Amino acid sequence: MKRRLFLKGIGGAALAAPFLSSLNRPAHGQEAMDPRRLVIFYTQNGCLTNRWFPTVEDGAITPDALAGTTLAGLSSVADKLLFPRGLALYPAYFRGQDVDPHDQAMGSKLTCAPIAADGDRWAQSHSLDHEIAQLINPGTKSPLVVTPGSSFTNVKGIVSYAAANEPYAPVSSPKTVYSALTGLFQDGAPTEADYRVARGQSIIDLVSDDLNSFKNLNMSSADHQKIDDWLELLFETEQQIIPAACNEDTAGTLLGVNQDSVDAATGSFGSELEFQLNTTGDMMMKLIALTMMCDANRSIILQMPGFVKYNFLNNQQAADYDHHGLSHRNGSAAVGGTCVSGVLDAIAAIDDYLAARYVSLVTLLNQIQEGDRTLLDNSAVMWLPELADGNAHNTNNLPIVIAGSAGGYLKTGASVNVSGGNLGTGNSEASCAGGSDVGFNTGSNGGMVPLNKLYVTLMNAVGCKNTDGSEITSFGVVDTEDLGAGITDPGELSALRATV
Amino acid sequence: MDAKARAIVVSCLLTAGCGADVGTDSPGAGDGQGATSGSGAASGVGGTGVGAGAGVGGTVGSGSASGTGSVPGVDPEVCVPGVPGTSQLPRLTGRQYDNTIRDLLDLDADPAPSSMLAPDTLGSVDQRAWDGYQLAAAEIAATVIADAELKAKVVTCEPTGDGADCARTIITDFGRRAFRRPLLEPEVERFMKLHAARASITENDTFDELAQLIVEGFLVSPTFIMLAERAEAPEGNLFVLDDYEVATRLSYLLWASMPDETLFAAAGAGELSTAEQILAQATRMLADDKARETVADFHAEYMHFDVGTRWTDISRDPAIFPDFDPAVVPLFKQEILTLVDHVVFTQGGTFQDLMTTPTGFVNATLAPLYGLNPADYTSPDLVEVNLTDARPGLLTRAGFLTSHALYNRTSPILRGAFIQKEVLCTEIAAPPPGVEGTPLPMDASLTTNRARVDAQTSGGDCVQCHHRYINPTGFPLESFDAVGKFQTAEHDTGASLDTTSTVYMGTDQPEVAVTGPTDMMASIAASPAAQRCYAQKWVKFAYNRQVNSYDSCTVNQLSEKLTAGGYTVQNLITDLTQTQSFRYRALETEVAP
Repeated sequence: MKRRLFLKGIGGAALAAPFLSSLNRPAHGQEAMDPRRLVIFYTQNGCLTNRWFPTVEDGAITPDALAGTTLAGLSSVADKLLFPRGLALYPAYFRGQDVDPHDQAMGSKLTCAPIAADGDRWAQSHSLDHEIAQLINPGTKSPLVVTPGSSFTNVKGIVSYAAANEPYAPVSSPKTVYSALTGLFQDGAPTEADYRVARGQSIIDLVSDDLNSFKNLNMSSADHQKIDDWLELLFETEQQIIPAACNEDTAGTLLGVNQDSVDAATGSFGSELEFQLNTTGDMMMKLIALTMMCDANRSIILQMPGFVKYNFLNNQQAADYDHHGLSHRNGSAAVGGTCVSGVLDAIAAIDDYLAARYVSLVTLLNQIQEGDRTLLDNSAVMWLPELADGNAHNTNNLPIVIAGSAGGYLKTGASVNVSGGNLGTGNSEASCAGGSDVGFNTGSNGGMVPLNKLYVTLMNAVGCKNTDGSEITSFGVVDTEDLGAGITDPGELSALRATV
Repeated sequence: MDAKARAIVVSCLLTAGCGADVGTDSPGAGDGQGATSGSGAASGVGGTGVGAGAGVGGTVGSGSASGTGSVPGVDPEVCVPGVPGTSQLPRLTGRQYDNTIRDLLDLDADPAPSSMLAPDTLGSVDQRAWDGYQLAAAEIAATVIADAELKAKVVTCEPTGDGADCARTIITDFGRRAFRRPLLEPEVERFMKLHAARASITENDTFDELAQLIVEGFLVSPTFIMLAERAEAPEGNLFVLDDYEVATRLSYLLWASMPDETLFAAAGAGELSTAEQILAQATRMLADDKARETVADFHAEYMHFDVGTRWTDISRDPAIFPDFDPAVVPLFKQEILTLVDHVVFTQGGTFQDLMTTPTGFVNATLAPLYGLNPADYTSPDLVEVNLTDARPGLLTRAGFLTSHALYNRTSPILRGAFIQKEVLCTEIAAPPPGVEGTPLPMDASLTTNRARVDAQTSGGDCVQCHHRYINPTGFPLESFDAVGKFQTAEHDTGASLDTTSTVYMGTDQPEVAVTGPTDMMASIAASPAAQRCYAQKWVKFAYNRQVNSYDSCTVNQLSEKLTAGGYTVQNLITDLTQTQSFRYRALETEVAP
């Protein structure tokens, strides 16, 4: 099967890219299948859950089920959506640890591990994106973690962890992402005579020689490991096999990505937020698509900032108070107190904006054909929130949506209540509707199935296997409030599978 | 003493504190994780420096670590003489990278080159970091060779014949500065391969293309990216650094950058082997403007100026503070750093001076906050003024008072917690869950913010930490409102303010009764706990690692000198180059991953 990439034009006509032949897939075995990927769109500070969820809790998702909700913009791809309902984070604030609700939700969200109670409060294990990158990435064993604009590098801004106490901060410069991809570009039929190939090899030789000069030194094993890891990185770069579609022409034709457009979308420190989120953000999405086309990474996170003032949304409160303060309803880092006037509308405006960003990402990936499907179809593009409701700081009954089936593995056009019972959509508007004081009743009841099980499902969906070739059955350190109990409920959520 | 310090911490932890606005629930809340978040340091201390072990209530005074990871010497309170084992391959931090590029190539790029690099991390170089180094190297090399003036600093010879001699000259001269030591012969030959292959690895086979490739090759070399220490001359269990390695330690400590030619010359002449020789260089280097930047960087960290801290996204109720404009925050920071520079370099002052100086720096924007007439300050530049004893030191400046206040009122909790935790290094635990929402009581009988905060924190477990450590330290600063202006009455009730208090000043020290900010700052200046805390933060900053029990001995020595008085900040900085661990290294302790 040939891997083909082209962009659907307006009106449905497909614009074929000029390189449909000569696909360089690896020769080992049955690699005919197009790659599967997990993309996580990550947002902070929760949302108005009662406006966010579709009107169907367990059943088919149609445009009707999205009408009037925050996600109405996804109507055109309703048949490609999956809402896994009834999931909760462990450990969570009040459920296993009591350090800080944001630190906990950030640190534990993708690690399913405790965070350090003291010091920097880093998570105590690696995160899902790293696990997946290790298991299925063709080249680098690290995920691609990006953010538009600047990000915190403390526990409140980190969701990805390479290992315990090793936070993996997002890359904020499109230039850096693009530069790594241009290194992979296939220029027509490169020959050994092409000076750029020889030049790249000369540089790699210089670096390897330098690294090898350290090998005989009397160093700690940790230092030796650093040298070995760097050498391994050079080796991986040389070994990677690049799809023919990964080249400068395609990037320009299909995505409008070239050095000039990347430079223009790269802000400097202190750029306006609107520029960062829209211009830089658009470019990051295109670079995510290009990363997929180059098969440079199969584990990707696009992280939206949490502590910013949305001063471009035509909403005065959203401009006056930062997102975090608004999520508390009182405009500040404290909780309780008096509602900011119009706070629910301000939060709704931000929710709508973030939803529109997710729609942009999903739409872009759905426009690019890959084989018989689209990049979206071959991926699971999950909107994962830090919190459910930002005032309650709760992480049960989480609002999560996945677009794309990861190559047909996941059920689509459906909301699946994996928890049973009636979940509801939370009580985000239980206070502040008419001014007054902030109440603490804005969370949800129920929906306590461990998030770990969704992650296991996603790992299997994108093709992760245990070393013996068997399916993945567990992820994370704990899946209950009991930090000493380990994983008590292994296995995936079969109800989310298309084939069941 | 150490045992007793522990006991205090434990009692506060077990009963835990609370408080509505000492929020752990905020960006970089008052307990410091915001400013110093771990990605700052490149010089590794191995896997577990990260505080996990500096254990609370652990094996008191045993000198070995409690908590996780039984690494010898992670307890920053217990002095164990010796040299800490550290990585000998620390990578340049983003800040060091920028400064090094500036000094190596005379290139002051905007945005800074480090904007192309991955965030600072410890551990191995990963794909993201490697991509960043390659991009930065390529862009910088292209920029330099495309600019005749910049190129002339690198290409110092006229290529003749096949250009081999000039290539060798560039490799030898530029290479020495890039690698911060003379190149070994195999290293020269390694780069000469670029010359040999020139025709096949460049588009047009020009000498400029080769020069660009040489520069790029050096910038992408691990030996440039890492501050590698390779000397293996043993002395007991330790290795003696060679003179070039000492020069590098000196320059990155004092300048966060590469050595200058004077240092290279001293290293080449073998004149960096004794403490006296090192001190002479350190003293010389401290007079350079690059050292002023380092001192400013330290105090920016000391005050928690970083992105994502209390200094980020400050807003004030326009109904109460109609003149407050968040755009003033950078000026607040500049004001404090100008003052620091003045005290440290112009006055040759001490830590005590930093805490008590009445000198201020204002312009028309800041003047009204200090009760001065803006019409008297026509220049936008900050000018020196005497603010009198009512405004002693850094912690009574508008920036600190504003950043550590709330939307519509002061916060004795934020101010008090910062001073206790960051200035006195008192360990205070995070509040227990749920209490952050404790509302501020607004009963008519409570006519001041002080009374309301006291009532707010008087319930249950809150009292332990708040009523002894946190609130009493914040109350004297009630003299200053939420934008840092002097006030004598509560804004909403008109009730007069009470700024008297009894302030905790560390273990083994009597609590101090004060009548207001002037008293309190004098007490902090004289407090051995605050002095030790300041010294400890300098050691952490200078050595780029979490302070461990080996460093603790250094901290103790510096603290004793601070307490004795007359010990200038400049003395303290140069003394950081006089320790045994500055001239020797030990193999990094093996730590389970």
